Amino acid sequence: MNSDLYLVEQARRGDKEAFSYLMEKYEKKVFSLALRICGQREEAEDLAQEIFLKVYQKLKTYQGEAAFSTWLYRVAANTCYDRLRQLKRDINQQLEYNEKIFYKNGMNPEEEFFNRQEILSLEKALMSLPEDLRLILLLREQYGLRYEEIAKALSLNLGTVKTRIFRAREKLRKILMQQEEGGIDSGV
Amino acid sequence: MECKEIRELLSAYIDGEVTDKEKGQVERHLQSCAECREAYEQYIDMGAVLKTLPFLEPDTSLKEKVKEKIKPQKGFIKRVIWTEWLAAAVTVVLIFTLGVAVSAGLSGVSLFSVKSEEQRAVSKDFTGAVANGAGGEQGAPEVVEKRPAVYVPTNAGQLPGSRDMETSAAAGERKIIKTASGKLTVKTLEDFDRWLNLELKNVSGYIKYSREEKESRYVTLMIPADKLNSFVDSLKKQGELENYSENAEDVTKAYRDMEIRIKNLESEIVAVRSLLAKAQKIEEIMAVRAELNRLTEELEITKASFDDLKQNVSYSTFNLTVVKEKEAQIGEDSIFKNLGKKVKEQFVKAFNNFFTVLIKLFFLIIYLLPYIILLLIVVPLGYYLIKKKQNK
Repeated sequence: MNSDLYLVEQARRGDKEAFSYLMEKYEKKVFSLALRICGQREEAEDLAQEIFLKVYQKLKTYQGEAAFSTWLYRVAANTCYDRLRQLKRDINQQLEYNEKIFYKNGMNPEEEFFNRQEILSLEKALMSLPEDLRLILLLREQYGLRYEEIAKALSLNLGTVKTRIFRAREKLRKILMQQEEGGIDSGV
Repeated sequence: MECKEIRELLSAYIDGEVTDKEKGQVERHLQSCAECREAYEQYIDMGAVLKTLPFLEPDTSLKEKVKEKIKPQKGFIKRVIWTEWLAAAVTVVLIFTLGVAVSAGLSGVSLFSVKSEEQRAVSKDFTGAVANGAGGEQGAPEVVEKRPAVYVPTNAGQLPGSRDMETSAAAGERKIIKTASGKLTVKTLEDFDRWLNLELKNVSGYIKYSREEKESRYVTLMIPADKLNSFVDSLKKQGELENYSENAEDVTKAYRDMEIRIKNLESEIVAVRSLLAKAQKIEEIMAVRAELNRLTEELEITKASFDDLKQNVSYSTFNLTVVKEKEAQIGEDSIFKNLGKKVKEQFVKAFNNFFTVLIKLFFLIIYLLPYIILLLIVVPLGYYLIKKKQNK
């Protein structure tokens, strides 16, 4: 965390190298979120770039009130949410989960060995979740944002965040149960 | 509580976002409901997998792409904003100038109203009510009485034009009686007395009334009307002149009336004299003489009043109080003298100014309202267009 603060301070003073260190550190995390929201690599790269540009522009407003990572995820969440609203036309057009898109270079041996199956079925289930629910659940579970932080990032009230997380969980649970029953799990 | 309600709490419970009360409710429910217990475990498992989802790598490093964009992007944004804002500013100035020009041309409305000549000209008919120097009035009430009924100046011979009625009453000339008063503070009264004598000789004025006290003088001065201003200027050099006021009274009508009356009386006397020549009986002669005497007496009285009036017109009355400057004391003449009063004055001034500016601003805003409305339409439109361009 402290190294983050130092890099942020340097980047704010115009040190572009410091900012590229920060990008390097968070590149995968930001890209992953973007990819899981968009479902397409090209679009996800575009979105991730936009997120980093926004982070750079907003760097001056970061007061160190929360960990830099949390702040960055908030900016990322906000940008994703905006993108979702812009792309509303595509919302009905359900994206098919394609393992090759996500795991182009394959999983690392550890992941593959322990829970390849679980991960793949979850990824698939996630993709059938409405985008806004998907985003909110990822922010909570994978990125560890608290309800209040999510509420701020997406300009929602706390109650809505609470309800949406519950709906996301419940829906995901049902999808997973259906997958098991139907035996469509590709990994089996 | 039903399972459905509990499930939402359950979700928050997992995230540690419940109150102690809710926590108790959830835990009690979980003990009794197998279905919710199962859901709870599934939520937990799902969470565990979600937390271990791998972070994925982009095809090419974002770092380089973003770095490339940061530089030109920033310049581009700045350039766009600058040019757009500059254009907007120029437009506003143009519209404003055009608006002012058109409105001024069409209706003659101007932002800053110019006082007309009539308004600017100081009315010469103002009367009375100007506060005289308080000291002068209290100290010598008789001085205030401006025009004694019959007053024959001791040096009447000096009066300009007192003999020649025709010239002094040139048609159309306003007859004004000027009265001035003030309070002068001097260092030494002796110096003032000396100066006053000299100055009066200079301006051909004289002292009508004078009262001397140990530390003060109350004088009523008669100063030729045309020399009053120069006299006051000179007076100001002698000490500090306070509470100076001037009062002008228009007596043109009374002046003309009196002139006509004198002429009438004179022609009547001539007529009665001719009657006297014709009179033959003693009784007739007596009656005509009596009439002649009455007329002559009336003429004299009227002439005296007229002289007095003329005197007052050609000489301004100046009620002057002169006091000796007090010995210097601590606090005298310093900024601390009348500090409260000064503070109050400044305070009132400041507030007056503030409100004046506020009111002017208000009117300015009203005046500019059409342009403001136009701006409110144009600026967001421009902003929207820029946004759109950027998003593309």
